[in-house]
Amino acid sequence: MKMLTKFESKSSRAKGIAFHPKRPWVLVSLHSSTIQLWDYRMGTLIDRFEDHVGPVRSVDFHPTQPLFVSGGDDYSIKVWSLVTRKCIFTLNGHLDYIRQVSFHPDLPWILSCSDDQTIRIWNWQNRQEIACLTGHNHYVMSAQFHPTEDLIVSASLDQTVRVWDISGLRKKHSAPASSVRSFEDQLQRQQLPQQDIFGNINAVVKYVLEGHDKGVNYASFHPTLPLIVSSGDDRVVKLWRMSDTKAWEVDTFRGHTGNVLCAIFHPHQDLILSVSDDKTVRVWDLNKRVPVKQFRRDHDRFWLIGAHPNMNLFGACHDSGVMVFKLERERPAHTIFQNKLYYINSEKQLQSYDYSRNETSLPMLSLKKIGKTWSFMRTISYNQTDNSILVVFGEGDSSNYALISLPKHVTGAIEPTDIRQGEANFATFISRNRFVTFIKSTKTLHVKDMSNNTTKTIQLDSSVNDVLPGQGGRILLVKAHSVINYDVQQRKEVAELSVNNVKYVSWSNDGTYVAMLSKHTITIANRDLELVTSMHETIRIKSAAWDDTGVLLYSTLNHIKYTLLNGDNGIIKTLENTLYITKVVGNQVYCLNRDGAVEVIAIDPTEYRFKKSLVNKNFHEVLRLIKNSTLVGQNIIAYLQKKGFPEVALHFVQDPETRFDLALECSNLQVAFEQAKILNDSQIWEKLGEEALLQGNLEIVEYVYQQLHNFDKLSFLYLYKGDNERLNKMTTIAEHREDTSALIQNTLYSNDVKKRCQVYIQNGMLPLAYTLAKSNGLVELAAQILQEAGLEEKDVDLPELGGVVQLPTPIEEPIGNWPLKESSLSFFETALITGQVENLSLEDEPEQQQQPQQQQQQQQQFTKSATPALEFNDEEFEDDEDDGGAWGDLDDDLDIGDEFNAQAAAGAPSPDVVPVVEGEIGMWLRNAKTPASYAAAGAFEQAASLLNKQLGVVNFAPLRQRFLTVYGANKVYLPGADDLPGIKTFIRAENDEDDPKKFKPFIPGFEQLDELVKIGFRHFKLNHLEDAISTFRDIIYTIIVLNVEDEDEEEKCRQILSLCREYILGLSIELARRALDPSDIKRNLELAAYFTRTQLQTDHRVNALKVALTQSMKAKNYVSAAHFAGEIIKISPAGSKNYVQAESFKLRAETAGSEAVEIDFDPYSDFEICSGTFTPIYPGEPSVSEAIVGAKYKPEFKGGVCSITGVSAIGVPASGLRIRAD
Amino acid sequence: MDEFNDSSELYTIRNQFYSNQHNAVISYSLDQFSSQYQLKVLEFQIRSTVALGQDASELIDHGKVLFPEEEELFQLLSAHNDLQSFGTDSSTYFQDVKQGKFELQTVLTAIYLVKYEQDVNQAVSILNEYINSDRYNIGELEPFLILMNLYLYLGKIDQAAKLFEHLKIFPSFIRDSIIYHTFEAWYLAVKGESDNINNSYYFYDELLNLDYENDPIGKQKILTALFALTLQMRHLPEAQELLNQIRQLNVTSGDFIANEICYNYLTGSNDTRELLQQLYQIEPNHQLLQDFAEKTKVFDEIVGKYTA
Repeated sequence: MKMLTKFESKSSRAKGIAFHPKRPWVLVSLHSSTIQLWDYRMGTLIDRFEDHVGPVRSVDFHPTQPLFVSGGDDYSIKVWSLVTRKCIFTLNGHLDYIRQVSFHPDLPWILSCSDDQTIRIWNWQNRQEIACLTGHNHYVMSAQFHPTEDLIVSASLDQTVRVWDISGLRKKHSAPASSVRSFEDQLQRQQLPQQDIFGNINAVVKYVLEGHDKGVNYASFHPTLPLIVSSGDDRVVKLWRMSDTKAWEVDTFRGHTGNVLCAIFHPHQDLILSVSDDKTVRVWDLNKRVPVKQFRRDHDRFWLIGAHPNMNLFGACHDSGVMVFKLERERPAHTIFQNKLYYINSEKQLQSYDYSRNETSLPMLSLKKIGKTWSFMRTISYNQTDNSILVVFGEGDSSNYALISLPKHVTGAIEPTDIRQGEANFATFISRNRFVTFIKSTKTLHVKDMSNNTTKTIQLDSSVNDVLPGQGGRILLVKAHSVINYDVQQRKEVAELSVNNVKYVSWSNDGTYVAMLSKHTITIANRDLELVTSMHETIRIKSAAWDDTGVLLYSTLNHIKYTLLNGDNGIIKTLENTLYITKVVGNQVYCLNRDGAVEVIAIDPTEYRFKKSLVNKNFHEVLRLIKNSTLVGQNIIAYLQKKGFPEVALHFVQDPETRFDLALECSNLQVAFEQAKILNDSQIWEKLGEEALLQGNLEIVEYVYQQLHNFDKLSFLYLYKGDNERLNKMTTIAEHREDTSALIQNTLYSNDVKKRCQVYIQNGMLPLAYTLAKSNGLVELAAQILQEAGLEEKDVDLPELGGVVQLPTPIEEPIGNWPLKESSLSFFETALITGQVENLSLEDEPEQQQQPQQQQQQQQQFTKSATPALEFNDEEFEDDEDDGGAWGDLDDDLDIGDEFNAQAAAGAPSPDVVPVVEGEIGMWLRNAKTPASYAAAGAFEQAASLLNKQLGVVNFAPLRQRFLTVYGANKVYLPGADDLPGIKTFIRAENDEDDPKKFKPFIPGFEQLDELVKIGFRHFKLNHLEDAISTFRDIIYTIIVLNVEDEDEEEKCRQILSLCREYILGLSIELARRALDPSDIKRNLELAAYFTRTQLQTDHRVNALKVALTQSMKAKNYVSAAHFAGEIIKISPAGSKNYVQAESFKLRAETAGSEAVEIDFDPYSDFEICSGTFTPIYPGEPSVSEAIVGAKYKPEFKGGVCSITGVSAIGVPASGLRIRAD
Repeated sequence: MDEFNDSSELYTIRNQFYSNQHNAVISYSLDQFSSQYQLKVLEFQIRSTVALGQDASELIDHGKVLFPEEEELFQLLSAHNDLQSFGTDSSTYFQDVKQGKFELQTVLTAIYLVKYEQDVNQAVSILNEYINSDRYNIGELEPFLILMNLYLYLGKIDQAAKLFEHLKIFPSFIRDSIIYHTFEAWYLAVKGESDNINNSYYFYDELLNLDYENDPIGKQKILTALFALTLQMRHLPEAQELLNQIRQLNVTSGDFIANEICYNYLTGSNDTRELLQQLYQIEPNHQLLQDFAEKTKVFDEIVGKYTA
């Protein structure tokens, strides 16, 4: 048994606790006079109630009404409203501290007990005391109504427990209400509290239970049985039984070492829970009357324990707050095999559920006798081969597993016959006849066979805390901050992902994804534990299962939710009770509830299917869902908007305002215009106006300005439209509106000088009017104005006036809307407008675009730099990926017919040459795209044909060994039956692949490339030049018959090919030099110089330069010598031996400064070296290349076999290296 | 009592026979078994003796005396024994069998056809004819084992799969049989994919727990299978470990050498000449040699074709 703490509050001493029957709330009354209301699920303080003076010893929620009651040391009982969060009224009457208060389960009564030695019953509706029970002769510490009968049990420091019969009280109060009683009546009743005016007895003591040796602190009824449990200062818990006529002590539970303050029955299990000031909570077995478990706090004395009315939750009050906990997990252990769920029900029996038939089996097996009585079955794993299960039960160090065979026929819960057990904290099957167990204390993993014998023991890292099931013989090792995918058979960590405190995992149906559940986080990863998405939940996550389409459904304490692989999530359903999802099929969610029974819940998967389709751009499905389902809600609209599909959202929205916003977002002016008309709000019009202006829709702009009476803007609009007619109208309108300023503005726009003058005159601005008239040549008008002003022309002194300014007139009709390019409707718009979904095409052009891309790629591979960028150290092979390998510029030389190109690019020989083979080889052949795959499948002709077409290979003899290696490296033999041939089985490139269309042979070689290069370098260093050449050629042969997985690998191969070319060329030049007749000094010097031009690793190049330098010095070619010495200095570390020597040579050579032999080598010009003649090919000179390594030749070599590779023809059509297996 | 039941007296000896613990099989005394099983035990012992390359005539004669009514069976076993000792010429027993009358005859005839006549197709058809005839008794699994062996040898995985379908109509207890497990392990390995290979691996790994102290040949077979499966999973360090174990046994076989050749290719040591020679000495007709000979020929043609 395990105590799982769900919530803890920190406060002063807590004295009373009560659970809300429905909501996740708990009331806590404190010694400090405060009452707190906590949400124990979220861990938040909802409210505080402060009205009592002094300690509040008890609180209780009303079972149905939004009320609670409290009682404390201020002698008062207070009833509070949960709605207003205020005290509604106070009941006074007790004469001392109130120890406990509680509501009656159905009558409007409150029960209280007090240090005044009485128990009182109050009617909270009329707020009157209706009974006072006397009899105890010391403090009454607790009093409680019976849940169903008219009984009360009370406990007192007088060392007794009393049971009271209150049926009389009920009778009286359910009788028709009598007339209002007189004051005297009431007074009398109070004096004779147990009798009413008719002499009826309200409450009588039914039994007095004596047995405690000291004061009794608490007594409570069993919810269903006629039992009472009590606890006292004599440190014991006592169990009592009662019949109709008597009550007697049944047993005593000893163990507490301090006063036992409270003891209660478990609401639905045969357990008793007690708390004491010895700082322990103890759990006792009601039937066997033995202790089951105890939990200790270090510093806090316990005061009270309360149970949730319906759920497996308890709250205990102690010196520094409360703790809410549950006893034992409630997740029924379960596992799925194919279409069946195996689970353990509440009776600890194994049952199965057939998903396809929606049928629960009879219980198959009783597991009650496995482990101790109260040990919980935590996990289960099923093995079909053996028809057995593996269960793990118990906790911590006493956690064990049991391997149990299932009966062949299900006939009911029989006792298992064949049980093999052992210690483990986790156990699961990893194959037909193996399982692994994990022992946490020693961090060991045992692989066991079905006879429970250990076949392998693995010591794990000490940080491994737990193990969870994996896929395909693997398990997941859980550490505090990471999860490791572990191959048990290979003892190898395959992958690791950082994720905290994972508790459960759920693998997708095809094993591609795994959801790892922690308390509040879900982390989704692929099977290689590469993070896909991660999300946080505030409510505890309980379970998860994948639906058929790769959507994860999960349950929290109170919801079923979903998440897509991109992290988009939402709520599907709210749950009354927590459920554990086991499987999702279509719209059915198969769950297990906490009572260990299967519940099938129908959900509406539309929302997540819709979102998934949208994310995956499966627009046809989106449309189908739009058309066929009632998908609405702000949620969807917001989602669509967020994902950039406002036009789809538009479809869902009815609300004009939202429609308007969405329409603007998708620039749909027409819809926005319609909505604006409906809304007719100035802000809306303004927004529309702005957008219309941006789009150049002047009609709408005009309409908007009109609506807004925005005359100034309207006038300006007409001005720039060139619409004089309307501009004049605006003048008239301004006149009507008597808006002088607007009028003047309009006359300015229309250049109507007369009108403006009139306006000035009307407004008494004669000087302005005169000046205007005069300057515009309106002599008569000017004269009139002067006259009106009573002035003469000479009185006015005007500056010199220029000519009349003419307003340009529009040359065309007033402009309309800006012509916009006809926009095509989006996929959805078309579909939604036309209603035709089926025949729409989403395939815009991507396919057509792809081809040029491919071609471009092919071209790129030829135009990359001819310099290999790989830098190899002798010891360390560093892969520099910055620069491409080299192919040389083959563009001009290659004449590849389109037809041929297409065929070679497709990578497959014409189908008629592929032999039809069945089995693995058949699949390899069908999936083959590279020469290596064909060779591995034994189709040497096809492989050869591809090599010929792609790389121009004509001399196959050197490739014999490589072909046989590739063919032989993927076939092994299982011994067959005696005297029969063995069984050939095959090594695939990827054993985790389950799609036969992707089965490919494993081709060795890539892993060995680095090592081979090193060997080549070693030969170079040791001056074994022939061996080095042969090694580099082997590398070439390996690469051309090889499969690589990705671009990086392919790129690496290309670079190594370039490297091989340079070394083979360089070493061949050097060999040729060494083979020369010593008298041929000129050629000797030339070859030495060319050798320095090959792209070798730095220290190897130094060797070449030293050769050239030495030869030059010998031949008295000092200029060249100085150059080579300079090159050495450039690449040698300053101060090194080479550097110092070179410096001294350089000095000597420069001093001499002459060249004895003229050679064909210009150190300053760029050239390539013909691999046939070892002479320079200068830029612009004709040349041909070879296709594997891109070696250059003079044109006369065309058609010959390349001396670098030894296998390929020079200058023949070739489509290029193709080693990517996919 | 049902002979496939786990509690049958024959359970252990059957497992030993089919897991190549032939010395263990021979070591039993007939008295250790109830009389109803003695004939079967003797049959296993005779076959084990032959399998170990020893002469079983004494046992056969003994059997003829003990079970005079089983003449047909002993005639068959005698022919089987003779093949081992004298080769094909001395007996025409198997040549005359055109149709298997009973399980063992069918099985041994099929083996004869493959081993001495190299006529795999005829062997397959004899086995198929038998399991589909009314002479076939439910529960007889050895014909299936041989048939599965031959189908997989021929690369006919579809046929092998059908064979499994065929077995589905049988009572489920046959799945407890070692014979079933053996050919299931073969099938899974050839089918590929991690789970299947792992399961196959674990089957052999479990066999390794048996007592092979007196049966190094049997043990070598199991280790060779594990070696092959480890290579199939490309767990090379483990393969090296197994290789060392097998070498220590001082027992070799064609399949083992063939797998070692593959291992060399996988680890980059391409020089396999010596191993190929060894293989040729031990099993000149091994599939690998035949394959390589054929491929070499094809390759020679390619060399000629492109240089011409």
